[in-house]
Amino acid sequence: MKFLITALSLFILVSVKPAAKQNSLSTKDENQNCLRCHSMATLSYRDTTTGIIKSLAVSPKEFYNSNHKDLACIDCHSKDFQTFPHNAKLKNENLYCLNCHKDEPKFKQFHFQSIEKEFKQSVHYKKLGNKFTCFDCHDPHSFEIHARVSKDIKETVLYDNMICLNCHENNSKIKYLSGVILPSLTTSHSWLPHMDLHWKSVRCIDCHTSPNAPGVSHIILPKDKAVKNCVECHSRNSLLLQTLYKFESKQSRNKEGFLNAVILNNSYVIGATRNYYLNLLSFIIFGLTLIALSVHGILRTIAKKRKLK
Amino acid sequence: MKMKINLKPFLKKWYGKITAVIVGLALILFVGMMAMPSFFEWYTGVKNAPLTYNSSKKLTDEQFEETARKITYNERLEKAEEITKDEKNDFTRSVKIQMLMNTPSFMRDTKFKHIEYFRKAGIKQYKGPETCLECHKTMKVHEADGSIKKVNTLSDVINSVHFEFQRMAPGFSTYGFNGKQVNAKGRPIPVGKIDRACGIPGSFSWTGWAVLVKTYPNGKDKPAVMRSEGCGQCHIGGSYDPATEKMMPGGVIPAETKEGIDCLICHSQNYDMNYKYVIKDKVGYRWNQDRTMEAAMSVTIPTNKNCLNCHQHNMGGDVYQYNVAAKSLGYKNQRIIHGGSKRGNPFSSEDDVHAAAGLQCLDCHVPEGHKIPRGVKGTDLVANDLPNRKVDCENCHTSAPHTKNKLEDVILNGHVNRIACETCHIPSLQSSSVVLRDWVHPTWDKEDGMYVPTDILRSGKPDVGITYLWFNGNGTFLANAMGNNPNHTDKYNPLMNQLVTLNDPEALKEVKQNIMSDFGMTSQQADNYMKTFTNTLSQLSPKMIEKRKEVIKTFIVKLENMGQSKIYPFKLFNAYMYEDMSNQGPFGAMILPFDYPTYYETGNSLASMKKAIENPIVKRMYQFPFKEYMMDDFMHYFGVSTWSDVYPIDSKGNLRNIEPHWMRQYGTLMINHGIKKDGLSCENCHSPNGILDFAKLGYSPQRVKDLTHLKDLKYFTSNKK
Amino acid sequence: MKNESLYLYPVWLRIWHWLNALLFLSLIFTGLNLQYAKINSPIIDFHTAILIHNISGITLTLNYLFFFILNIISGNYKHYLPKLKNFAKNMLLQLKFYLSGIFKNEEHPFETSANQKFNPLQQITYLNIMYALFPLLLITGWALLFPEFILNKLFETSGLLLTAVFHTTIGFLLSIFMIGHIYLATTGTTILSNFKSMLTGWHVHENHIVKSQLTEITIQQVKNENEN
Repeated sequence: MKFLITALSLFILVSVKPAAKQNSLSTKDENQNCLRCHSMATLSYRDTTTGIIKSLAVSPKEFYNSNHKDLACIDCHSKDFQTFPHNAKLKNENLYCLNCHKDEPKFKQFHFQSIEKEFKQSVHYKKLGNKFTCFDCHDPHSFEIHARVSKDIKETVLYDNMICLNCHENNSKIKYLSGVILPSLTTSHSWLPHMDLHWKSVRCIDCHTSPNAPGVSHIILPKDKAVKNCVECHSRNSLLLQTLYKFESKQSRNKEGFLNAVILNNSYVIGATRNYYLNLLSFIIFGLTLIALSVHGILRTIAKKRKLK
Repeated sequence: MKMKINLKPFLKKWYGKITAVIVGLALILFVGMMAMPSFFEWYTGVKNAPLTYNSSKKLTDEQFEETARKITYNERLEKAEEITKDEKNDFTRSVKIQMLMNTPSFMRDTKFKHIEYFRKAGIKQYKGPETCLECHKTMKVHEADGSIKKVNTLSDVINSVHFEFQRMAPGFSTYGFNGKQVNAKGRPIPVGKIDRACGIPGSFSWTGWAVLVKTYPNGKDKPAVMRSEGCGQCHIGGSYDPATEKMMPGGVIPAETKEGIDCLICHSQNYDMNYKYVIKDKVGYRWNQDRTMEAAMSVTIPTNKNCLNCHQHNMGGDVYQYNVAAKSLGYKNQRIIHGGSKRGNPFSSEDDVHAAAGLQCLDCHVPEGHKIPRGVKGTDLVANDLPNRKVDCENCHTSAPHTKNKLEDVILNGHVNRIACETCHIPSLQSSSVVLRDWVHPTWDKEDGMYVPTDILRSGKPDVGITYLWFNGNGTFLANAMGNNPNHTDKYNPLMNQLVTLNDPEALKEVKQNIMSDFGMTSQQADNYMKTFTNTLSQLSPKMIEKRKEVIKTFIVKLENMGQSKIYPFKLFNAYMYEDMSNQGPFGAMILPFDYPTYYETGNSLASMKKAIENPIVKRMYQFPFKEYMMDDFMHYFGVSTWSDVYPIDSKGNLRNIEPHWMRQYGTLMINHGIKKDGLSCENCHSPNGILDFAKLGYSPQRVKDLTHLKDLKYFTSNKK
Repeated sequence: MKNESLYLYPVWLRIWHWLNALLFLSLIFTGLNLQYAKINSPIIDFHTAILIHNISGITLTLNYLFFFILNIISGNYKHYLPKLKNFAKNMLLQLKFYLSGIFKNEEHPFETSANQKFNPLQQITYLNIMYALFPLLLITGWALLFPEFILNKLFETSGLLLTAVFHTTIGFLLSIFMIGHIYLATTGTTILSNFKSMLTGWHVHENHIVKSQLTEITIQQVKNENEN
């Protein structure tokens, strides 16, 4: 009997582990069936009313690097998609991020409910209503929180800005959504000195969102409310340091220790040279110089008076 | 008063010396420039003389007006018929039409604006380019970036591929077997139709420019009929030789040659191709042109008709039934019709969906002045006027070209990323498309009364006349498409697989029958002969094959993995010709040209070849400095370390180091016209016997199985009961 | 006691000097405002500060080039080259004077003359300032004007930040120098006499009758060397 139990538990031990492995493998396998077609980069059709090309493609490379890489296609999509040709009814499948992201405790730290509220206050939602969804910015098949994985802040900036530029550099897409054609970005930002450099180092959302959010702010502001005042960034209480670079310096503080992080802060904004220690040092030197010179002057005057006597 | 100039003190000064040197150099340069044309003529055997054309005649005022009425007749008639279409009474209608057609406003209102221009300027005779340049000395060119540039019209034409034969500039999508892009780096060499004969025409511009051939269609005992032949029928220079002066440093095109440019063949809507035949004058042979006033008065921007005057010859072919130009073979010395066609993909409203839709050539090939883009892709060594200007289906059709929004179209659009449009939409070529051409064994063409090269295989069928290869837009120096499966496998190797064999059993059966009847070979002889082209590598020694593999590994693989490859269709071609074996490498040897009259008249291919290489310019290729200037570099691209200057004719006049061979691999020509609205269907490729050999295209066995047995995949609804 | 006048400062030098001073003040002022920028600063608007700083900086560069070239042409550069012989000794001598002699109303150890405008301490300071710190300040300033040319990363740190820190530090050091410079300018015959001579070009000083023995010898030495 004992032997049997041992044998049985051994058997269970042996069989459970591979089973788990097999499971993840079969997720990828199952996905492969979908990707057989959907990995074709040009799998697409022209929308019959607008003429816009609608892509149905998923890049496996991007997907398996994305935040959703561990998911099977049918974790989000209907299981009925497993047959081909797909049932016509499936066209109306309606997915919403918060279906998954709302209740699970492990997502709590990302404040999805707050994001939903913020989104409702954003200019995108206010102007376009339900025409604008999460997916318009965050492609669930490729989206990754870049700041978490990237070493170079400029890469993060580029990645995040591409999310905006996908639409904002593509007039037909904007026209399709809003019915208007916006002036080109270079025109609307022509007031900004060193425009290109700003775009390389600052995210669109750093100026175009309201900073009062627990995570990355989703309150995209209308253009007249965007930050246009240089000093809001280029000053002691830099807005930037509160958003993107806050995250960056927090991280480097953890990695390299506080002092190093402050001295070797990777980020630079005019005004960021106001390093506390350097400042203190400069004040001390300045003060000492003044004191030394005053003492010297006083002694000199006394000496001169003495001589005249 | 007598002036005395003493230069001595001046020359003693340092500035005097410098001035003397400068003046001296300028003098040498001046004399050199003056002597260059004569030197070129002496060196190359090229002839130049003032050109005259009988068709250029001065019209009287009456003749001018009559011609104007004649060329606008159809236009006026159509308009008048349209206006009077409601008139019931036939006679009344005809009277009305007559009246309308002759009203001054009708006469004035025509697409042929030059009638009015000539009338006002008093131009009653077309004298060639000089007439055009009277008004069009300069022209505005719209460049790709939207800017407008003013250029000299004549030099714009002269520097275009339609006039030139060689390019000494980068812009080739061709890579040598030494791994280097042609003329991209280092000293550029002149490349084009001057370096080497080609298997289709069997000759090249220098040895086959303009000739008259005696033919005996009525029997050899009857009087000969003269026929015209040569490259000059399609190149716009009208001189005794191709205008290749600029291949030499400091070379200039002589004024006479410039006067021979045929503006009207591209611009006139009434250009009569019957004027295109070879004439002989006291200087030599040259091609005649239509320089009638009628042609000149009907100039417009080039239409399809103009382009197809020449280009249907290499697309549909001479025997293509809708080749309009081939219906006007000449008022005399009629042009020789070539039986096999080069590409077999015609551009005509009968066989091409774009032509049928009324599209003009220039709609896709959007020109910048006289420079016309041929697209960024190309396998052949042909110069490109606008190497960066795309001529792609995507320019109009987007990346989602199938628009019926049915399920099938989504999947088809998915294929666009891997499969070129042409792959499905050119399901076959003209059956006259020549695959195997044997120049060494000519056959007697009874109908035309001359010896012609024997096309032992003509086919436009997939996998016989067409092959399917990965293509990234570049080609090897011997016209083989380069590319690789995007999985970057090392299994895909067309230079060792697809392009060195021919194994369609039906085609081989046909070929065997052909050669047994044409050459009178026995079955055994035929089999031996066929080995040379069913496995072209059998012509190489084992050592050469090893070298070939080595070159592919070191240079070609890297190039094939460049860029984004798609599967394209290519017209396959090979030719059996004499080769200079002193200049052989693992990918072939120098092909030698034929002299057309000797070949056509006697059928003695060897004598014909000998005659051609006796041409002074071929001789020069085997000499200093031509060897160093051009041929050595040319051979490096060819995969041969150096150009052997052993001239194939020895001092006693005997041929040496010459063997007949097939090219060591089939050439692949891009095919882009003859586009059909309905392409191939899924099963044409996705079935066990589909036209795409997925294994050879570098797919894994599992993937090949999936691709050939799509319906067996588990998610297909039909499988789920 | 007799008064002696020396024409030491030619017009170009004076123009350069005072323009330099003016630009420097402007740069310090605007620089401080950029460094300690505040939202809605009551002193000067951020944009205006940048504009003035840029214009002043560019003018300063031109002014420096002007100085650099004319300094060579006029031979004035010689005054910046320290005499290596007894250099440390002479410097200590001057330092000793500033730290104690001056309070005992001792004579300046190195009298200003046409042959030697600067004392050894001035020489070493001016040499470093004019030919090391100043160019560095200008170069880093120009780099910040065209940041696209700055190395992206240097020692794992933003090149832009390093440049900016460098620029600020040098600016700060030069400001400190300027304070010292102004103060020491008051140590002339009278508090204002050195300022006056920098305006007129004429250096006026009382010729003291009593000179310390040591000083006499040193001056003689220097003169001898100059003549050789």
